Amino acid sequence: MQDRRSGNPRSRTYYKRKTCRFCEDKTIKIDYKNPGLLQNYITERGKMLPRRITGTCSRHQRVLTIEIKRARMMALLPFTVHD
Amino acid sequence: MNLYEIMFIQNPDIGEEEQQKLITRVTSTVAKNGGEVVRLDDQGIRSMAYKIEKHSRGRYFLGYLEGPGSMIPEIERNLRIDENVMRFVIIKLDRHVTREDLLPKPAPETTEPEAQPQTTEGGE
Repeated sequence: MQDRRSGNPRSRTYYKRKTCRFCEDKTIKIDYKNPGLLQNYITERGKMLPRRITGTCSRHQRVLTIEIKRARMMALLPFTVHD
Repeated sequence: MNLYEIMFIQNPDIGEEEQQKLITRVTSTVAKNGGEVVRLDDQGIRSMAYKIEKHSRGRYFLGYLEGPGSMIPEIERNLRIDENVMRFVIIKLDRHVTREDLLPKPAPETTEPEAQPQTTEGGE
């Protein structure tokens, strides 16, 4: 990831490169039947987290999307959480 | 022949008899259309993330079917007709998955929804 230069070179922020959890550990299966795992990839309100937050690679993000949507249909995950 | 995973949620308030009837109906539909039920497990009553048809809990079933793709529309049609089936999903499994993978032990993938937060009710 390229560092983003703001006006002041001293205040440059460094990012730790996030890695895709599913690439690191290939034994983890993304499955709609495992809402505990999918929970990590949605917000408190039930929205899906973007890749740039979680560091998931595009391939696994695609799988996640499908499985989260399946889990929602089967009421294992909420579509939305309101107060 | 393909392998399919089937999951459906049944009305938790219906009696044992109705429940059994539903299962036999599913099995017979599969058989009639040239397929076979590899497994069908009752996963018990679970609380759902949101209410469906005014129920906050549902009885989950998870099963595996083997058969031609042509049987799927017929199964779906039957599940849709049944009032006690609140939701269902049928998924075609990977080609690498064999029947033997699904058969023996009571499946390691039946993970309980750990730390599933109690979500507030409401629509979708």
